[in-house]
Amino acid sequence: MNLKQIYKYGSPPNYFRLSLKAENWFLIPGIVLIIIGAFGGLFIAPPDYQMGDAFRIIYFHVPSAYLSMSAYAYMAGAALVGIVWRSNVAFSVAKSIAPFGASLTFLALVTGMLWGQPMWGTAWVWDARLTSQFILLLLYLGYVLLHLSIKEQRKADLAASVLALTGVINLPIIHYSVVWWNTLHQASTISKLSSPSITGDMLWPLLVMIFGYGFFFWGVICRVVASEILKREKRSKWAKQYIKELV
Amino acid sequence: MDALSMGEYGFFVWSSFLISFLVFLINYIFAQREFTSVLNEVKLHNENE
Repeated sequence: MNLKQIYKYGSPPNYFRLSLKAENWFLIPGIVLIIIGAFGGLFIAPPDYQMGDAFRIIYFHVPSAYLSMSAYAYMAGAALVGIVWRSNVAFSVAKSIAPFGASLTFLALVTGMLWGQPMWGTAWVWDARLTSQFILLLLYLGYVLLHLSIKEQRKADLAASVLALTGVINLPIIHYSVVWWNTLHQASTISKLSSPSITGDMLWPLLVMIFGYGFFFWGVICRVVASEILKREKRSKWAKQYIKELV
Repeated sequence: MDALSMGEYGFFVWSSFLISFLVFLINYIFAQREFTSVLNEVKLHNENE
């Protein structure tokens, strides 16, 4: 793909149509993978020798935690492209990711609390991993609120993007928090695929869930991005044409 | 029944499942509703012009 093609797909009407087309390419595999992964994790994987069946929370906790971090990286990447190339599409992508990213972070925190309560005897401690993940939630919420609070679109995009880029510093802190500090939170389960700390029959549902969450996420984001682009371009010729085609 | 009770951790495991399911469902529904609402907004905008 050359630069010309990238510019072509980066134009609002093309990106809008591509997003709507791609929605089901992601959504359907995502739903299938989540069903398979959840069934495998809940009913096929053997119970952990120490944690028993409580370990099955890993199949909801780890994928949401991974995705909350990678979604933030995508959001910051889109924000950077938006700032550098003044791309309305890139700003739309960044803005679209934030609410789902925030809900994934919330999910990672809540499922972590549900896991921590029976295993640690407490749902919450201010250790480095939990605190940095909580800061990620605040960053997502800050992005959404900052965007809402500024009326002028371009200024809102720029201010929120600067906040998103500043928050990138938190990602390595979350990832390495269990290495840099002595935390109650356990070390990474699959930091290296070649030497995961769980066996194959526990690992495959986890990998399936991680991919399923990712596909589902992008399926939903495709639709949200399409909405955002259409909202911003409602006065343009192509948007009016699109509506005419629908009627 | 044993699989549903999850040893003694049924509440924690099934709550995690339920909350994850709800969060995904809510995000999906909001995405669809937002798109419909923007379509209506643009339609209205076109009609008023």
